Amino acid sequence: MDKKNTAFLAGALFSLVALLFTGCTVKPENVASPSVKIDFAIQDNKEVYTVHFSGGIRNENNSVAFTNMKGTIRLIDPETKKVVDSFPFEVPVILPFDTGILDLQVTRTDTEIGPLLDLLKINREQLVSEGSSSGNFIEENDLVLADLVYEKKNIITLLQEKK
Amino acid sequence: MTIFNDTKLYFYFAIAALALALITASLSAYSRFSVEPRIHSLLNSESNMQDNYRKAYILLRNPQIFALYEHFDIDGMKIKNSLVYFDNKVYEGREFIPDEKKYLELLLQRRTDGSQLGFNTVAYLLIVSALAWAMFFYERRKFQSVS
Repeated sequence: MDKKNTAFLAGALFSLVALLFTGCTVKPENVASPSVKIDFAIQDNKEVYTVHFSGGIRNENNSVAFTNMKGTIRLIDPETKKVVDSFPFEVPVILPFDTGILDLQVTRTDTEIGPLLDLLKINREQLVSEGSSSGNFIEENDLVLADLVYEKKNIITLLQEKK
Repeated sequence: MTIFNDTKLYFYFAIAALALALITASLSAYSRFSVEPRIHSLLNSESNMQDNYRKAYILLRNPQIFALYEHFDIDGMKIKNSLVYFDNKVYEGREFIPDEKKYLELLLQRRTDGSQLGFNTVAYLLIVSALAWAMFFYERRKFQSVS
């Protein structure tokens, strides 16, 4: 076997070992049990809609914790594929096999809330009269986890640091 | 009819099985005779329970190579739930209670099962290697007598 082949085989073996040790982290790609609830109120003679988003981000890894996670949840209209609303979020830590709970709250004006009400098929008049919508579950296709950044930390290192 | 000389094949196969057995034996022995007694003594120590349970859990969080914390079957789900519970407890600095010892012992049992599986594998590999050595010597003698 010549030197070129030996170097190629050594490189392939090294890449395989590196892949085994570094490439096995499961990336979070969706939000578990997403739901939205909207409250209506009049503040300073203005109509204010408070959108409560809740859901969870699962860490499916057995030894990697996610820390300082930041991202945006985008609700998408499945027909037009346009972004209806966005919810930025931050989660300090998600330990292995655990779920980071998202409990987000944003306020929207009368004009901003329109597309979301259409997406969730919420009757505006009914919402205004009742003051609150019942919780609406979001279909998986109507939601995108975007701009996701986080740090990966070995669970043993993380626990050892917590003395 | 051509008679193939398989001496080299048996020799390398026997060596590979033996090397694998030695590696597996050293990994299992390290767990059985070093890590497991350390965890056992931490769990059974009468003083400084909080710190000892915490240290024992961190040792247990690093799984034995034959008992990794993945691919849980129905029986393994209790282990998975224990990991989530204790990870959160240690991360948040909450105190251990004496009743939690049995759940830590469950994790220790998984490690012990892993090292036992390793020793069983060593026995299997040694038998395979012994058979390969026997075939090697038989083959060598056969070809020596032919030449």
